[in-house]
Amino acid sequence: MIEVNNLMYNYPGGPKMQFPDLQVLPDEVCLVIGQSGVGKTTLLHLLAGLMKPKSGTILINNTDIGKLAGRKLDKFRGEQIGIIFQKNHFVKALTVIENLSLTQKLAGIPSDIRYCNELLSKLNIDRYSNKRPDSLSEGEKQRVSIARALVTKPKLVLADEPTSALDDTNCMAVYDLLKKHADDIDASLIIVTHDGRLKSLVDKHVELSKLDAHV
Amino acid sequence: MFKIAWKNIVHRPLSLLLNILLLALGVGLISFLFILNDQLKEKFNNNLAGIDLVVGAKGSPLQMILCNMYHIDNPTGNISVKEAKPYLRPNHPLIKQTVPLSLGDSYQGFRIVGTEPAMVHLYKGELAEGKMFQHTMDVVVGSKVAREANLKIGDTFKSSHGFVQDEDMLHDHGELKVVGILKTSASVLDQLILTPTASVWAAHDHVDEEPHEEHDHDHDGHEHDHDHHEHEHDHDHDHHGHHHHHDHVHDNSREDLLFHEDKEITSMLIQYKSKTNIHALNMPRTINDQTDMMAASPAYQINRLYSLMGVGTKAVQILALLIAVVSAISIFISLLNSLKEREYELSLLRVSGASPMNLFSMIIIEGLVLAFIGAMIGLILGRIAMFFMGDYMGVQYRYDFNAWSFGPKDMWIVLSALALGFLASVIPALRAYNTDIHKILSDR
Repeated sequence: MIEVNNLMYNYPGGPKMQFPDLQVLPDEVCLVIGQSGVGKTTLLHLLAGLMKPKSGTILINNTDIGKLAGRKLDKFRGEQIGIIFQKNHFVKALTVIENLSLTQKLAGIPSDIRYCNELLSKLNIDRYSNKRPDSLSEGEKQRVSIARALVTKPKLVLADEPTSALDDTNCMAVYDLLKKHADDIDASLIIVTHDGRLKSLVDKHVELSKLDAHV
Repeated sequence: MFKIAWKNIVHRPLSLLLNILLLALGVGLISFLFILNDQLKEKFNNNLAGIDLVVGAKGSPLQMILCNMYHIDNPTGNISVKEAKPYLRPNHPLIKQTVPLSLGDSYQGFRIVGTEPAMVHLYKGELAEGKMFQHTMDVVVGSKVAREANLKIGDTFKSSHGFVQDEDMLHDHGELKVVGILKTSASVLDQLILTPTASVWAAHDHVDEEPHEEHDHDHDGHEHDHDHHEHEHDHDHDHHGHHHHHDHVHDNSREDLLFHEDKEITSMLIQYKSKTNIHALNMPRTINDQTDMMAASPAYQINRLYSLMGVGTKAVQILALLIAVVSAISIFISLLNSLKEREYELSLLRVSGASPMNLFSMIIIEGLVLAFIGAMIGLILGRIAMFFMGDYMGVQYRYDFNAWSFGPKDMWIVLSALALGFLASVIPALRAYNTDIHKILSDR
């Protein structure tokens, strides 16, 4: 589970950005909604430990990632947090299955090819396991991204605009996929988006607004 | 990390090919030069054999040295025994040892040298089997000759006039007989056929009796008188007082040689008693000024040869270094370019738990692997070049080159190449180390 309290950040020379508190339990989904420029990505990067908060705490399974640094932070992120980025990038030189197994190794857990294959077949993309990601369609790539985010069995899954480029049907499908597989590993799922269609699917919302971004 | 670095390298085969090709070319050239230089020097040094002075007919001193010590050029001509006599006397005050050489004949391209057993001792040769030549028409052959011309003790063969094998130039008279085979000595002995001086005289006396044979080779053949020798042995003749020596029997002693004042030899290899004796040091000038002979110091001439070769070697060396540096730049640029392309990938690796140090070492490994492969291929290229060069030298001069030896120098070449690879990749690696994940990932 993840708990955020009094989180604040400011870019060098930029205004202070105060983020609302939130708490997401295992198997729970939380939507972070807001228009462009209100700090969605900043929040995502803070939650992922890619940036250090100026103040406040981010507790993931009772570890304050704001207090971790260097190798420890890298390791913690690799083990505990899975991220699905808006753009689907992979290590081009490696195949789909190699990308997954590399992610496991980098997280410091033993490479488990069986589990990788299991995930791929659950996401219905197991036939591409030995292809290079570049040769796949965008939709397929996104599924590989999801598989990669889940392959380390993280406690927290972060998704950045996973549905904004999709039509209604696919939007639903991707959300279901994310929810289902995050539940499978008892992870907390946070989706950062400006996609209003998701609002009707998720109960828990946190709205970011300009108001929050200057205090 | 190694695996992903490797996959990254082979993921871009064209730039891989270019980088490796460039480096291999540079390394290949350098290693080729090293081997060639080493082996030439080794050959030359092994064959210096403590010889202080070579005396032969006037001409090019370098040619005389190359011919009489290294057996790779043609003689400058002949000198008469009469003129050489003072230096051939065993009791010369300045000379420790003089070895006479008579060249001009060959067998299957191997040179036949009319000389004395002292020649073998000079080069520290040892008999592998058989005995030392003693009688006229006896020969002792070098290990390479025995191997390649397939000669065994007791075998007989006809010598051929000149240094190249030529059926028309066979000497028709008596045959030479192998009495001994030398151990491999890594000196010029390996490729020579040694025989008493009288054997060479005998061959040429006979040749000259046949009017249809011509001697207008590019090298100076021997000119001979026409006295007829019988090749019998073990007769003790007293030569002193004889001035007409028809039907004379050689016992192949130094006295015997000196007795034939009207005959010729090609050269003398001289060792001084003391290398620092002022009179010994003046001897070459005396010979050059006051006789029809020419004296030259092998050490001096070989150094001259080195410095002549050195200019060319230097130029190629600089070229090779340039290629190596260009290859390093090429590795640098292609790593940097690939980094630009891969910054998102690198950020992903970071997100997945890789430390900055992991990324740094990944890029360094890519540079090192490229350098290593390039260096290895380069070494092999150098060897292949040397192999063909050696082949050519072997056919041309009967010189053996060992193309496949690997020495400490090769290790240095590989290490230098790795250092080059490291230098080329350190800046890209630092960039990877400092990847700003947040900036790259939020850049939509």
